[in-house]
Amino acid sequence: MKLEGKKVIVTGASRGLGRALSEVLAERGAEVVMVARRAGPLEDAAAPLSARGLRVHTLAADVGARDAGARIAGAAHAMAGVIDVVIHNASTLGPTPLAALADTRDEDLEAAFAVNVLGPFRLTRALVGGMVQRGSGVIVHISSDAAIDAYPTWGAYGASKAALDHLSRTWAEELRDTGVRVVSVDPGDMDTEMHAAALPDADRATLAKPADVAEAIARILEGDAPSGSRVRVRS
Amino acid sequence: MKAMRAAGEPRLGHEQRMLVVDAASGELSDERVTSLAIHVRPGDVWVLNDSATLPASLAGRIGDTDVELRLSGELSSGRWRAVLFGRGSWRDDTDRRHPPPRVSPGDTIALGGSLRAHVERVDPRSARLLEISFTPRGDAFWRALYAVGQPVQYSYLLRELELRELSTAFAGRPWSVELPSAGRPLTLERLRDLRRAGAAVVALTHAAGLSATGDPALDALLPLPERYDIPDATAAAVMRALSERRRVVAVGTSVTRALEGSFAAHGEVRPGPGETDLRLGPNTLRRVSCALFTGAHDPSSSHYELLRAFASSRLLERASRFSAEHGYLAHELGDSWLILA
Repeated sequence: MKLEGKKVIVTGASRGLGRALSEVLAERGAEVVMVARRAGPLEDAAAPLSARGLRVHTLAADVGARDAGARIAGAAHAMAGVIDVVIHNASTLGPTPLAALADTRDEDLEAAFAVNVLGPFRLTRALVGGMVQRGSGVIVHISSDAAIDAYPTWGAYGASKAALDHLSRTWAEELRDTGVRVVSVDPGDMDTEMHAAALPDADRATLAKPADVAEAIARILEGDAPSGSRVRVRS
Repeated sequence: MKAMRAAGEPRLGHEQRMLVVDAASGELSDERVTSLAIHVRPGDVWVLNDSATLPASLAGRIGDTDVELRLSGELSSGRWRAVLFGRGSWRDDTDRRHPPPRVSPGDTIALGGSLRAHVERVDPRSARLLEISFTPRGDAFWRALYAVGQPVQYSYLLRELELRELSTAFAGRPWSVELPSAGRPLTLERLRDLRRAGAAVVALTHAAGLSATGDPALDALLPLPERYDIPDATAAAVMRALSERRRVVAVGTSVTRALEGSFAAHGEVRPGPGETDLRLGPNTLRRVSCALFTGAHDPSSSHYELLRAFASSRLLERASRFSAEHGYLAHELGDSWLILA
């Protein structure tokens, strides 16, 4: 798909990969609705993009809230017009330092699923019917290698990302022949605040830059990754 | 006459009932919405209203007085028509709400957060019908509206509904101040059934307005002029169907207003934006739609009058009686009627 003129929602857009994605997509001519929980950091992330004349909007919302899907979809349509692409990038690790499952409170597991699984589900639900009706649309789930491999202390996050991957594949099956594509992207280990919170001792030199990963994801959007696929970014 | 009970919560899935009202034969048939597709004729064009529902109810204060401001329709960017309600909540019948305080041009209504409505004009026909401008404007207006606004509720509801529950499955741009409710039972699976049965399913966007204002004089003017937007593909599909004598089925009276309003104004269903003040009723000359999928409504409701564009009062009364006797639920979240005119 050509990104020029497309209307895109990016969640988790105030930092890390979401911020880099917003910039890369807007540079390619997309109109981006940047969504994040806190208005302050979100405005800070968007201001330099607007200053460069890139078309971005901001919307403070918590994707984990029950009514968030309809509200984000409605406000995004009001600000930018008919939405073509949604990138479910927002996610939470839960409390850090990460804890083993035996030491994970069920509230923390619930919170991880609320943001990482239910959030994307709700927002997709609010957008997908219109996409099907128009016969086009792209839904991207940002996953993790923790969705595939079991790492000690990554249980809550990993289980929620595995569930997200499964949602992604199921959406793709159900939306076959509708013109709506659903893909899951594993961005690999990136040099972000989130990574530092989880693994503070990691050698940052070995970590991918969010901007490079965002470029790779933009190319995935422009390419023809089949619906239902799970794409690993190698950078 | 026994009245239908209102659906206090959304009817869902397989419990969703459908009365098929055949205006030609006068027959009534008690069915489920799950069997909607058996009524499709190959070549039908079914037209949806893809407008999403705005969080159009705003709690506010004028001086020391609590008020509720309900958006009615956008006039231009940042300027809206709106209806002011006095103290009370959605649990009160709109006709029994306290009257709103008198306002004048220049007055300001504080609406929570940074959102403010500035009164520009009070309509001479009703002191509660206002033209307002909002601050802030642009994106900041939409952020504030979605942060503090709630969807318009109905006094018959058992609980306050969230925006997601007052939405159709295929909603896009948020233009309607109340749920365009006819389309609510149409899940993606139902729409797929229609297509498989040979129908083309197309959409337009129509800004459905308020269903009640609490002022009988103002209620009598409803619906106020409403704007719509007809995509090229939808206009083309409808005009082709008309020239080939295939059926156009309207999902909801808002779709009927847009299609018939456009035809009345232009002599064809013309693509692009428009506004219509068409009032459907027994004297409406329908030139586009020959069937209507709609919510089940009582003869007492304002909506009922619109249905007379598709069927006689006698038949509609029989349909209402049948619906009441057979446990159909009425209003925005209830059961459906398919009127084949």
